[in-house]
Amino acid sequence: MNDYNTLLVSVLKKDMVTRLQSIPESDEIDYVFSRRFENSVNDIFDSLNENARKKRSIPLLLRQAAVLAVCFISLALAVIMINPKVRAGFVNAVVEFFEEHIKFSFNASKIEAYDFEKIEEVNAQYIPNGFSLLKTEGIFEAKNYIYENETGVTFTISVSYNDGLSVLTDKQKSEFEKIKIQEKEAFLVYSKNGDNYGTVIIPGAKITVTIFGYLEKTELIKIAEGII
Amino acid sequence: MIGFYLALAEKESDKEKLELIYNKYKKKMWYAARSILHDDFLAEDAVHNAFIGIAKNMKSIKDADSPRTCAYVVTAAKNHALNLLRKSNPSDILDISAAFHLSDENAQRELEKAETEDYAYSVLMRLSETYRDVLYYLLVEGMSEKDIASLLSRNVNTVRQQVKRGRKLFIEQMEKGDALYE
Repeated sequence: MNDYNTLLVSVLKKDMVTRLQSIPESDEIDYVFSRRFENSVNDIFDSLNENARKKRSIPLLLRQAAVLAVCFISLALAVIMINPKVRAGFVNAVVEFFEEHIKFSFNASKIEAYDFEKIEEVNAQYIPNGFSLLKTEGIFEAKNYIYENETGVTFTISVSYNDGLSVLTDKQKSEFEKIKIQEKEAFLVYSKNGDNYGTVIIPGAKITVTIFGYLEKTELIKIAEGII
Repeated sequence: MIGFYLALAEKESDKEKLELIYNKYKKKMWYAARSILHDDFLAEDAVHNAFIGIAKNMKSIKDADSPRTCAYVVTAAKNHALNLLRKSNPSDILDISAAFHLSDENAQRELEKAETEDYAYSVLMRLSETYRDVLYYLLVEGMSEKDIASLLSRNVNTVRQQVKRGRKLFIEQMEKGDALYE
């Protein structure tokens, strides 16, 4: 049965093509339509226009209303934002939201910070048991002291001049805390995924000390407390 | 700027499409109608009526310039011509409900291997154009019975019966051809 249906479709197509081929092309047909006919067809086009206009009018009005509403709202917002207080409030709200829900950041130049003067002067008084200095790296205006224990776990004490940039950490993957190290502001950033990776940032007026590695929070803080 | 956004342009695709169809196919439509009516002005009337139907069913036409559209509008014109002929001189028309025009003897003489397309084509040619049109638009173009009825200016029930009968007749003749061949 399916074969017959397939055949039927095939021959129907063939039939239609044959029938159409029996009609000459338009430019081969020598006929001039009467004025009566042309006028009657124009009436069809006019009624099509009228129907289309009626169909279009409602959606068009709605669209125009939507455009007007958007323009009005934009204008109102622009007028409101001219006010400096409103603008500041808006910016603060955005920043607070950002810091609360998305990213943690700080700017060293805006914090009451340590007063290290030279990189060479910075020393660590406390190093956790089992760790010893593996190597020291000097990179431009920074010095990294890398410590390692027997099992290959490392941590680094990085001492660098401030470059005026703020530090940004993803709050979704890490938790952060403002802490006090030797009564001055510092920051603890600790991984949320249970891999015991953390960072303590001790911002200084000129020099910032960063301690990072796979250590418990308490150990990181103890190292930071021992920085002089 | 507001004015720019407010002046949202609306597409006039239906009107443009119809104009294109009109300019491209009116003479073919007229020719097809005239071949049935044998009268220039009656053929114009058939074409006019066809355009009324086409204008109401523009959604059925996707591409104004295509063989599919050509088939569609010419079929519309021919069917309107048949309607006019029926109204003006009913006795002049062959029995439109008659599906087959060849006797069994002729069918036997023309018999070829049942599965071939040539044989299937010859069987199809025995169906009147009335049946071939409904079958074409249903099975090839995939139109609904309602849209086919609108195109051919017939009743939906008539279309439904013609589809059923046309298909049945075709398959019966194909099976008869199989049996005779074997």
